[in-house]
Amino acid sequence: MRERTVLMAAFVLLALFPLLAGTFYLQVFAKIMIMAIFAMSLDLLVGYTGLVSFGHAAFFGIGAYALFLLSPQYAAASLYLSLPAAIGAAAAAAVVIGMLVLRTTGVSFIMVTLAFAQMLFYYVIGSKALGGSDGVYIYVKPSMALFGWTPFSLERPASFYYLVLAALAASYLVLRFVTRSLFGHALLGIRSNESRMRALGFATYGYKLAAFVIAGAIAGLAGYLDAAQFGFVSPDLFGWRLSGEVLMMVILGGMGTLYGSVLGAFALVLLQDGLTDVTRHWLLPLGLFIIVAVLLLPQGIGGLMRRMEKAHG
Amino acid sequence: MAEPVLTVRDVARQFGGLKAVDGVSLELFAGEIHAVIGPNGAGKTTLINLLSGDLAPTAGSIRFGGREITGAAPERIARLGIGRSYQRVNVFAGFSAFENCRLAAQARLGHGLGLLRQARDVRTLDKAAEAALARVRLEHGERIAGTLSHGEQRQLEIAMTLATAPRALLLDEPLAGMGAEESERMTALIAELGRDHAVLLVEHDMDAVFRIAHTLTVMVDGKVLESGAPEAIRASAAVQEAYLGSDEAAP
Amino acid sequence: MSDSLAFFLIQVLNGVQEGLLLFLVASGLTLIFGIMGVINLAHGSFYMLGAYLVYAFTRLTGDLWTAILVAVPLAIVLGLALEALLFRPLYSRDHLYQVLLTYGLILVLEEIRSLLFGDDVHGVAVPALLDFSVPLKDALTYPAYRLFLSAFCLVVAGAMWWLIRYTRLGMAIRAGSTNREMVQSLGIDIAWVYRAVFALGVALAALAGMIAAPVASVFPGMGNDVLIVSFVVVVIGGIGSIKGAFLGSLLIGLADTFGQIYVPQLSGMTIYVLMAAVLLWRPAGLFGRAGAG
Repeated sequence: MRERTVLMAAFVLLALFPLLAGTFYLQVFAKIMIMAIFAMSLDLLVGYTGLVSFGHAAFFGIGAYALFLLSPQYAAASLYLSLPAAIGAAAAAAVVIGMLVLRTTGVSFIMVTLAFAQMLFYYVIGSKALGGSDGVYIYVKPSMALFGWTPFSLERPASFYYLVLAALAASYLVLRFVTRSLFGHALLGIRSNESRMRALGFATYGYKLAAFVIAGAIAGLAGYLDAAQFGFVSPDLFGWRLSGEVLMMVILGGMGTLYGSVLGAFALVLLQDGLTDVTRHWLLPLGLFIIVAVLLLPQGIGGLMRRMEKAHG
Repeated sequence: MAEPVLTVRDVARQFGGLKAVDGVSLELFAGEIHAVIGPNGAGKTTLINLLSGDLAPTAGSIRFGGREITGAAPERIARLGIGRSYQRVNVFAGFSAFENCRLAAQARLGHGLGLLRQARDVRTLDKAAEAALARVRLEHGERIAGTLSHGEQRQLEIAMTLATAPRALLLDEPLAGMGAEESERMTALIAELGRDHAVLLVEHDMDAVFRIAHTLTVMVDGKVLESGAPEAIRASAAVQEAYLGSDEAAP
Repeated sequence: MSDSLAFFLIQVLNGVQEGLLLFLVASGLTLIFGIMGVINLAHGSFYMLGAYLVYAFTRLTGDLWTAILVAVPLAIVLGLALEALLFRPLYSRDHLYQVLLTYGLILVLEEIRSLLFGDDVHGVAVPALLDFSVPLKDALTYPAYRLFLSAFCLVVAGAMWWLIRYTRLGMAIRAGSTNREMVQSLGIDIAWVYRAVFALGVALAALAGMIAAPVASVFPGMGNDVLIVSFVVVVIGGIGSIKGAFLGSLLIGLADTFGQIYVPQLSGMTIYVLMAAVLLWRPAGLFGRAGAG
């Protein structure tokens, strides 16, 4: 009960934020919320199913490039068409990639997920149509026009912020529903002891694939919003660095709690922005921080996990 | 005589040059406890792995309820009604005993992936889990599985298998590492289960085996040495020499 | 020899050389996975460090060979230090934390490299001894240094084969790649084995970077590129299998080389298509065992 109150309070605060904040902070928070959506989707895989994907950026990139492909050069794409299409494209890719990568487990799984994301990375670099290694611009944000009437213009920072907030809330609710269902319980069982799940009669491959696709679809949503916000897409959106970053957010924020990933996103983006101001070589303290955190984390994550297992009884 | 629930015919499993199981045949009937005994390395656990689908046979056939299940995947075999317990405790350590059984019961629901949870389903699962725990007489099911004593974890093992409502039970050394009192209780439980299931029991505890088994099959070096009623096996000179007289069979 | 045959031969030589160099990196990776069960994302960084070290020392001493002689022991020491400080706590932990820690390690190593050597692309001169070309036909020649590279890698591969067949460490490696507990029951000090395997892996990766520097040039992202390709090799060859790493590397080297010539539209994707095919046919890899990893 308390958990729900805190979450509602947080949502209300986020909703009121535009009344206080200027454009700059609206954009920063929108960026953070987009990463939070991305991180929550990975949490479904890592924290609930035990699938450590190091290539989740693949679906983020697909969502982003989908907006590029669906946007006419100097006009706006319709949000109502392009957004579902982007999610659909990411989901479809997740089906294909999932069917291949889920044939492996453990260390191999980590490697092949990375490899497939890299494959897309190289494909985009080599593709003139997709702008190659320089990336490509999306000049106009998607339009929310419906039958000639435009309720909001996403060019206004506050409107875009609310769109992202709505997407965050929707993703959270969907993932919460999924994880609290019997399907979600099965995922936790798979994470705990997959061979026993099979011995009990669960077709675990199907469960894992479904989780993979749901996660991929939501990651595509995040990528789409990212492309819409910055108006620029580049192959780095498929890169291993981004996959690593989002994995960090999930782990450091607390796996298996969904809102933990949101916290992780806030913490990491703010940390990065803070460090970038201090030094050009900000990756060094970040890397050291990660190393130290992992070496010292055992108790922290352990306690968190036990709480998670109990919460989903 | 009734039809056998499980028919194993000339089943073999080879690892490179090693024949872990070499032409084993046996039949399992409902309401009967069929014990498989033999020295270590005889292939007993491999046999169970073949029957549960964890390993595929390199030869032979396995039929369950008239259906060919040779080489089928473990989840399919489990859904058809063969439940198995493990020699080394194989539970969901972070979950409570109750949650363990409920997850096991969920395997039988058959609602696709269960994304749309139904309140009615949850009640069914809760009841099945309670019944399974009650059957093995494991109390305080809210305790975390990893914190249970060894004997209680073995009880949980059986409870989980029961929660899937199987027709046949494959029990892999359920008495291993148990003290005298716990063994007594477990043996009585298995005897009870034998009445309404077809039970294949792999065990080293000869006391228990001779008390509750209806049929014995003795395995040595992957092959069946002898098979028959307990008294006949006990009297057999060949079996005495190969196994019963040795140090390996627990008195 | 006809023109097209000579051309084909050159591509084969290129592919084999690329594959053999890759083998040096991938073999260390697969050993560390197979024996220690550790996934090390920073493995490619060792390759990069080897290249940068040799670049720096060659500038100091003017000679590639001296640079390598100095840099290899340095790499081994670095490997032992990392093993003791960072990797030992990871052996019993979830792959998740290994991924995270080694990801942090990549960042740290890259920034250290940036601070010490800058971010520019550098070249290392081919040593004078090998700075000539072997004539093939008419105007077609093949650089002697590349032949040397292939020969050197074959020697290293041979040395590894000898190590695994005929030494105690090798026995531990063979046992350990199938069953980690068995190694301890053989009476071998597992901590020592881990240290040796890790140091060997790091040294091989660094050495590969060192000898490749004259042909591959020295640039910031080189570690990550080679890492991912090594992953593909390990997936194709099977975790823990040196044989698989050898065959996988050659396969990848040839596929990449010929792919770029004959199917340039797929630029760089040929190896991933190969990986996908192996995943479909044999998920555990050519010589891997299901359940490994």
